[in-house]
Amino acid sequence: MTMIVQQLVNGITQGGLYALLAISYSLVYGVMSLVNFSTGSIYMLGAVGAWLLCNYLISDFLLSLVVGFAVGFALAFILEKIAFKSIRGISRISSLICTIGFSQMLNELTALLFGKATKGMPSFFSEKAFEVVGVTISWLQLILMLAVVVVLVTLQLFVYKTKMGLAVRTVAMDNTTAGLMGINVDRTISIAFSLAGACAGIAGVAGCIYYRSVSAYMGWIPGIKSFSAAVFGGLSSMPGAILGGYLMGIIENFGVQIFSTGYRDVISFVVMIIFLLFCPAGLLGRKKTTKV
Amino acid sequence: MNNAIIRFDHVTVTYGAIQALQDVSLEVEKGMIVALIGANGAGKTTLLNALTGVVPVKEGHIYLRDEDITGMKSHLISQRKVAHVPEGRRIFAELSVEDNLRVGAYNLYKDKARIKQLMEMNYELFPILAERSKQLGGTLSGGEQQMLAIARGLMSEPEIVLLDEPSLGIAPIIVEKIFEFIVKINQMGKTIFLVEQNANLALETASYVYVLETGRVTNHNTSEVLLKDDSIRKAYLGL
Ligand SMILES: Nc1ncnc2c1ncn2[C@@H]1O[C@H](COP(=O)(O)OP(=O)(O)OP(=O)(O)O)[C@@H](O)[C@H]1O
Ligand SMILES: [Mg+2]
Repeated sequence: MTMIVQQLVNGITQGGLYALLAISYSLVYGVMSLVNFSTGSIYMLGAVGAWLLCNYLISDFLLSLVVGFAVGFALAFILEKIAFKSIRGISRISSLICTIGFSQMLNELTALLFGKATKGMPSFFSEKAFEVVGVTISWLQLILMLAVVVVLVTLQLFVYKTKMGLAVRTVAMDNTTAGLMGINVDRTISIAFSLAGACAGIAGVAGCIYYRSVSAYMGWIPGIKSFSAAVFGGLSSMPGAILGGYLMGIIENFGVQIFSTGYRDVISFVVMIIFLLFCPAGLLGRKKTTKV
Repeated sequence: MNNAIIRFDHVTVTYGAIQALQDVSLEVEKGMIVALIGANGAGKTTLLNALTGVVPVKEGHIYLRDEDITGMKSHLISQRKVAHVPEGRRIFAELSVEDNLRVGAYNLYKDKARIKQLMEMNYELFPILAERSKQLGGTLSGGEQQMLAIARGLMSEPEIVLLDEPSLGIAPIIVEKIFEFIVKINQMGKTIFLVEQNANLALETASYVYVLETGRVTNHNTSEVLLKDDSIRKAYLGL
C-alpha cells in the first residue's frame, strides 16, 4: 500500500513535467495542426538556460523557472517567425520535417557549445518534507508539483478567460473564419506557439532540477514520451493533454515498480499503443473539424 | 455608380492553373442591396474571398471606400466595418451561440456594455437565438446556424454585410424569413452585397444585380431590367 502511494507521488511529479510538454504539443497542434517535434529541444534549452543562470549568476529556483519561461518563449517565437510562418499551409509533412530538423540542429549546436557531457545541477529543497506511513515526499517534489499546477492553471485561465485566449480557441477551430471576425491570425499563432515554447522551457527547468542533471540530448526522450502522452489524452484537447501527461508519469512509475528500471521507456509506450488501438482519438480527443 | 463603397477594378484570381475570376470589374453602391448571381463554380465565393483577403488577388485592385485594400489581411478588412458571412455558415461548432456572437464582436471585446446591447439587438432580431443562447453552435439546425452566422456578422457593427448564399440548404419557408431579415438589415442603413445561386430570390431582393459566368461578369443591370431580359429569364429563372 505505501509502495503504491509512493509510486503515485513519484508518478504525479514526473507526470507534471510530461503534462507541461504535452500541453505544449497540444497548443501548437491546435492552432497550426502541426506536431512540433522541436518541443524536446526547447525543453533542453530551458534547462541549459537554468544551468547557466545557476552556475554563473545566481543559484535560485524561482529565477530558474523564469529563465526557462523566457528561453522557451523567445526560442519558439523566433522559430515560428523564421521557419514555420513561411511554410504554413503549404505542406503539413514539410513543416513536420522542418520541426525535426530544427530539433536536431538545436541539439547539435548545444552539444557543440555546451559540450556533450552531462552536467550537474545544484540541489534545491533537498530536506525531506514529511513522511506519512512510510511514504516520503520531498520538498522538491511538493514544490515542483505545485509549480506545474500553477503554470497549467494560469494557461487555462489565459485560454478560457482572456481576449487573446478566445482568439487562440477560435483560430484552432477555423482560422479563416477567425480572420473574418477581426482576429489577427498570424499574431494569434505566434503567441500560442511562443507560449507553448514557454511551457516546454519551464518543463525543462523543472526536469533538470528534479533529476539534477543537464545535457544537450536530455530533451529527446521526454519530448517523445510527452508527445505520446498528448496523443494518449487527445492531441486536440488541452485538458486531455494534461491528463495524458499525468497518466503517463503514473503508468511509468508503476511499470518500473512492477518490472524493472531497464524497461522504463518501453512500458509507457506499450501501454500507449495498446490503448490507442482501442481508442484512436485519445481520452478526451474529438475528431477535428476540417481545417483549411 | 459614383457612390461606390466597394469597387473591383479588373480583378483576376487564380488557383494554380484554374482562373477563378477573370478581369472582373464591379461596384457596390452605398446603402443598397447588390446581388451577384451565377451557377455552381462561377467564382462567386472566390470574389467575396478576394474582397476579404481570404484568397490572394493576382491582378487588378479592390477598393473599399476608395482605399486600395488589395492583398490586405482579413482581420484588417473586418476592422474596416465589413462583415463577411461565409458560405456554409462556418459556425464555431464547439462554442455556444452566445460565444459565437462574442467572437463576432471580437474587436469590441473590452466594451462589455456595447456587446450586451448588440447581443440584445440580435436576440430581438432572431428570437430563436435567444432561446438557444447556451447551446453549442454545432448542434443548431441549418436555418438556425444561418441566422447565427448573420447575427455573428452583425455583432461587429458593420456598415457592409457580405452574404454568401444564405439560402443554401435551408427550407424555403426559412429562406423567406432570412431574406426578410436581409431587407431589415439593409433598412438599418447597412450596405448588402449578396451572393446567390437562387436568381429569383436575388432579383427580388436586390436593386442591382451582377451576373457571373465562369469567372467573368457577363451582364449587370438593375433588377427591373434583368427581370425582363430574355437570356436571364431563360438561364437563371427557368422561364
Ligand atoms: N481552394 C481552391 N483550390 C482550387 N480551386 C478552387 C478553390 N476554390 C475554388 N476553386 C475553383 O474555383 C472555381 C470557382 O469556385 P467558387 O467556389 O468561387 O464558385 P462559386 O460560384 O462560389 O460556386 P458555388 O455556387 O458552388 O458555391 C471553381 O471552379 C472551383 O473549383
Ligand atoms: Mg460559392
